[in-house]
Amino acid sequence: MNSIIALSLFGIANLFLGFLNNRKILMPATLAFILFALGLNLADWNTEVLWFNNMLRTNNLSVNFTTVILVATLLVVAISRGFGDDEEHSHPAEYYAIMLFSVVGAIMMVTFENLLMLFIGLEILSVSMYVLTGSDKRNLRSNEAALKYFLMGAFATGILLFGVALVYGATGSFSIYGIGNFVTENRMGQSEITPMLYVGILLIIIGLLFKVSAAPFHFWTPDVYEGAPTIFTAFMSTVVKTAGFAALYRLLSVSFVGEYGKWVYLLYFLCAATLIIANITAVYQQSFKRMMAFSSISHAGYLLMTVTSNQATTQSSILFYSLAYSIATVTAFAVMILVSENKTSNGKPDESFDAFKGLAKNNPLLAFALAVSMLSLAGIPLTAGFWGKFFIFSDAFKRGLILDLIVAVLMSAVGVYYYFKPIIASYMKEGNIQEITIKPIYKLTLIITTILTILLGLMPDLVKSIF
Amino acid sequence: MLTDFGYILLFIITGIVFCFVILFVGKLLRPSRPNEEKLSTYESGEAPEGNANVRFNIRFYVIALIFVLFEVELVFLFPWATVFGNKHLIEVTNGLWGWFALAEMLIFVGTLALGLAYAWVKGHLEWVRPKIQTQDFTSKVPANLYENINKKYEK
Amino acid sequence: MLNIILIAFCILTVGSALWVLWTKNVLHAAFALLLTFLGVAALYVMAGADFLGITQILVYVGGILVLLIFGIMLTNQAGNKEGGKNMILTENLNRFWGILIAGGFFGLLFYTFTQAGFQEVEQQHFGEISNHSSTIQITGIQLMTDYVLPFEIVGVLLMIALVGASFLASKNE
Repeated sequence: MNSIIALSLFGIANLFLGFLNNRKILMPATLAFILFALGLNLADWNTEVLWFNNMLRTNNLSVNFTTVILVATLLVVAISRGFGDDEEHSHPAEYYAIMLFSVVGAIMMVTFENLLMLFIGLEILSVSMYVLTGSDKRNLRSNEAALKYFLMGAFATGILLFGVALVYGATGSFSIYGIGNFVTENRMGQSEITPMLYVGILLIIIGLLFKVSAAPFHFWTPDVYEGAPTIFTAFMSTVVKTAGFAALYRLLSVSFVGEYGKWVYLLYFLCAATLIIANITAVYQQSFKRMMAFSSISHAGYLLMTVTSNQATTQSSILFYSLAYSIATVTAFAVMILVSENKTSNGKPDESFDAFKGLAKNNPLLAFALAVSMLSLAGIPLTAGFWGKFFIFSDAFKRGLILDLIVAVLMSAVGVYYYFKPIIASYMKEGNIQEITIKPIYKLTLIITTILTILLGLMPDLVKSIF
Repeated sequence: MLTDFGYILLFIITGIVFCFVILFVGKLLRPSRPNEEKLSTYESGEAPEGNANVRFNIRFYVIALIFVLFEVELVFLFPWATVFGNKHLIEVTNGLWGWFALAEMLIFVGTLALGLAYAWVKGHLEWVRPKIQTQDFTSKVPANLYENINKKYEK
Repeated sequence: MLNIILIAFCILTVGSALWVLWTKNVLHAAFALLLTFLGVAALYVMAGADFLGITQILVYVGGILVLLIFGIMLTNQAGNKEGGKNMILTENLNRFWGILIAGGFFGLLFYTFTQAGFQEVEQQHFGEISNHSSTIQITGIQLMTDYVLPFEIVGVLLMIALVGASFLASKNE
């Protein structure tokens, strides 16, 4: 809660910092703001508080999720390089401010206690992301992506809101615990539950699956991820996904757990469908950015698997996976931004796999960071991604989701194929990439994320014991 | 409450019916002798040209966008205004209610005022003027040539 | 009497919504949407939500629809140059999937609402609801007390929308 207030104020402060004719201070200021919010957030550790008449709840779970979100934001801001030196066409103050505001929405999505707060949080996050997606105003693809994202997102929000209204009608409560008590009591009493409840649950699940881009509601993802400026794609695929899954998990495990026997079938099959569609399509991609979009869909599939299993360990699995995935994704996009800007084709940044050819020769750090992040995304042992997948698979195994498990293992193998494409391109192929100059903070971020990925791969208990 | 809205409905119905009645009476009374001049669009005496729905300027859109946002703000202000000065509530809470409601509303309006201030300073509220095209035609005849001719015929 | 008015507004709402669906001229669709909004506002009022009805008229009819029509007027109209009619026409695409999804959704909702048992639900959760007093004061008191956090956060949301919209729509580059 404190971090929500602080970040709202910081966002406004950032907007007005933009009026100073000094673009250099924006990035350090934003980093300081996020670190301050992180401190405020960690100060809530081991306290359980309900804020403002049961609107928000801060407890260890919400502190953990908020930390993952803030760390991901911190990394994204650190690789943003003040949004370039293009004085006229970039607006760093607005970008940073809107990013901070969107984090406010994301934090509300992980701390909500009342469905109203979920809706407003989702709306803040989405509106910010529409703007950031379309922020490259001269790029037609960015405009198209923003429009697509806006139409799909508004549609999904409408569906979610309809679901909330139906659930409220059926249970008479907006509070997730109030709904949970009602659903469980009715299950026990074996009384007639009005079908409004089931349709409401269905619509809420559909609305949230739209936001986390699980199949069959994923079709907007590749275009939007490809069209958006890369730095915001990195932000979108980490923060939005983590917040969306936190919200989905909290709703399903607290409010609708009494009807587990009903919604589990829906998620069971959607999870398998997401994994198959995303991984098979990713194999055929030529563009690295588009491949990452499908990879993000496939990771939504893995996360959906642990939500489906609904074990006691699910929350720590989601947290660990989100953290590992966010770190690896930010690293991959960071390397991609440098490489693609360095190598242009037809005046546009080259985002295909060919751009990585021969990267290792003159840029060993970049190639190594890319390789580690790809290995982590593929789930190769000794990286954080392996343990993320391991925890999720063991959750699913405990629940006995056999179909999902088989599909997930097969699709992990498929994933190894396309995640190795950029590694092979950078180490095995011949290319002519000169040494790319990297700013110190960028280099530091890359080193930290790479070390973190390996460290979490060697000693997952470091954070797993906290989560 | 429904009866109050019933009056509004009656007003709307009366308005619509009245329109049609007037037009119908006019149709009965007036002579009908149309010609091409009478039927053409009145455009201040000029001959009408082109189509009525021309392409609008983007400046209207930005203003309308900001207007919608402040209209939503107004919708939130309205229920507040009906209870802000509620005597009963103020007495029950020993005057606290008024201050509390005022503070909440000031925070709300203040947030939006900051947004407005941002848009103002950034110049989003300014009326976008069309760029005046300046002619960059340069004559091959130097300017002092004219002056020389002027001087020559001065006397 | 009330039933007749209710049915009249239902017909107005659904009829104009179908008009939006079937007309090919986007401007006509926008004007038909005006009637839909008005009908929905009237339905809100008849359901006892007077404040919601007023909000609907204020925001949707007064704001959103104006934006919509501005949007249409801003769109490039090729016909204008040739002096012909410059209507913006739409095409029907993906008719099969559209009808399938819309029909499925309608069927689902129809089943839900016929099986809902609204009267039992109302007695169970909401008690007696009076249809004869205004909801504005209750809304105001609730906004100031129980729902004060959403209220303030909506202020932040509106500000983001203001900043984002003016940033995207402005042309200062």
